[in-house]
Amino acid sequence: MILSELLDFFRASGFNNIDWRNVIMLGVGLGFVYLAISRDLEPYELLPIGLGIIIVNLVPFTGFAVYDPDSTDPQTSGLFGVVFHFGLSFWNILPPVIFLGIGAMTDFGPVIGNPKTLLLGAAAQVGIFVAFWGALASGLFSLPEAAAIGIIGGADGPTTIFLSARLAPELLGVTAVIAYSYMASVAFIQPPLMKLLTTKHEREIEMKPPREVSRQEKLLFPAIAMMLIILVVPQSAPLISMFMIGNLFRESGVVPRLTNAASNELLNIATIFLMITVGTQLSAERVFDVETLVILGLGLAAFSCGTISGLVFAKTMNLVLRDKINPLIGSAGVSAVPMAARISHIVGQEANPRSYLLGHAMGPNVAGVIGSAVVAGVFVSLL
Amino acid sequence: MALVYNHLRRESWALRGTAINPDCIKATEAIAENAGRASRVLQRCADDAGILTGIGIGTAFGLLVAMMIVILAIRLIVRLLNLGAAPDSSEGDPETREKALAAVVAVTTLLADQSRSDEHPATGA
Repeated sequence: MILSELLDFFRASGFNNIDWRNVIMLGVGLGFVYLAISRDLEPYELLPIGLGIIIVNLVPFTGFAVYDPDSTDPQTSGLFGVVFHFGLSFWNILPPVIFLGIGAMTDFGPVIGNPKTLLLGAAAQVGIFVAFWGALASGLFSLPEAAAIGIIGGADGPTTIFLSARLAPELLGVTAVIAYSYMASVAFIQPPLMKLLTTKHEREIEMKPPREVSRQEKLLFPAIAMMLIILVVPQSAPLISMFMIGNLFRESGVVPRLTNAASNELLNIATIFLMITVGTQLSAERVFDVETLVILGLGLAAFSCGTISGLVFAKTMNLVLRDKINPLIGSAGVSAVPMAARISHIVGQEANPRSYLLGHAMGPNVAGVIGSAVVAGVFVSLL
Repeated sequence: MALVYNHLRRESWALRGTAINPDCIKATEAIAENAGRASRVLQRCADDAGILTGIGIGTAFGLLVAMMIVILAIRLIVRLLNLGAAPDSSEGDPETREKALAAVVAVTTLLADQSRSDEHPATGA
């Protein structure tokens, strides 16, 4: 009697319900946690994602990440299943909320001070289409799925989640984690390409300090840009409008409490739910297939191509510009705010310690955020 | 559409296997028909992807160029209305430029230090 109850207890435990794939995913989750804590790599993303991966693979049968709208029984849906359904899949709330916070933290000064850097943000979007075509060529994905994979090349987590949730919800967990993983790895992916594609002389270029931008310019730009983008690509409105509203909160200077709430409390709460939920979508049975490996490769190709196209475009611009730009800032066009800009600055300083590229690189960095949101809007409009 | 293509492609590959037998005339015809359909669907898929790519890159470049123009127009208007009193640091005297450079250096160094701390998390965008 006692033995059978003990057996039942064992059968109901996690030990009896995990297989080797769950064990590997636990390793992946622990790896994310390690990178976040020990290497300080994107801790705000990798730590909650890693913990989400661990809990969903530790006890896969609990339904923690399940949402079952048809069930009449209580307690059949889990917290992160409900968050995934209502926050991402069905209503898509969290990415726009995160964009509000990002907007409240963004300074358009570098872009307004040196508007030609906007072009670098556009050039770096080439990576999106390389991955898009690669996904189609693999024959494994439909057009909407290929678009959701391609947007990984935008190196923009919320935009990737926004588009995947709209066009290919079944890929959401995978695309989001791959996007954030590569964003966390820009310090490893970009510098070799930057050094390979630029000469030492080009890396040493010192750029003039950007001009001082007036408050009126900082106020008018987000308002006009928001109207222009939304009129051209209405489907990008959820991201672009929230981004610009957050920025207008900041630049208006009259609502400091709203600015603080958007860039701190709201952003942090949304990040907690978004990241853990993304992690919980990475159950072993979802991850272990050929498609995921293909997406992993395509994401890397997209990141690399975005970096390369930004660098090459910056070099091309130098052919016609009188005041040369340091081509290293071209790689910051892949979004990944602010890591990509920081990498441009660090690699530039290695070549020339008197060169301060951080402010300049923020221009293409912010333009990359806008560019990838626009491309996402185009995909949603046409697919 | 691509799902249809994938289905047709799988179907045509399956039928191709049966077509090795020369007696399978019907199967061969079906293969030809399916291959033709698959080819058309593939062509349409490629056409759609090409259009998406063109519109996507074109829109991103077009809008960012338009924003460049907007920035220049705003700057001009602000100057004309004498609202933007901020001088262009690149056009100032050498002393002003040196001060501006020193300020940028100080701010970027501070930003770099702050970004390593926990006070300003990466935005994830």
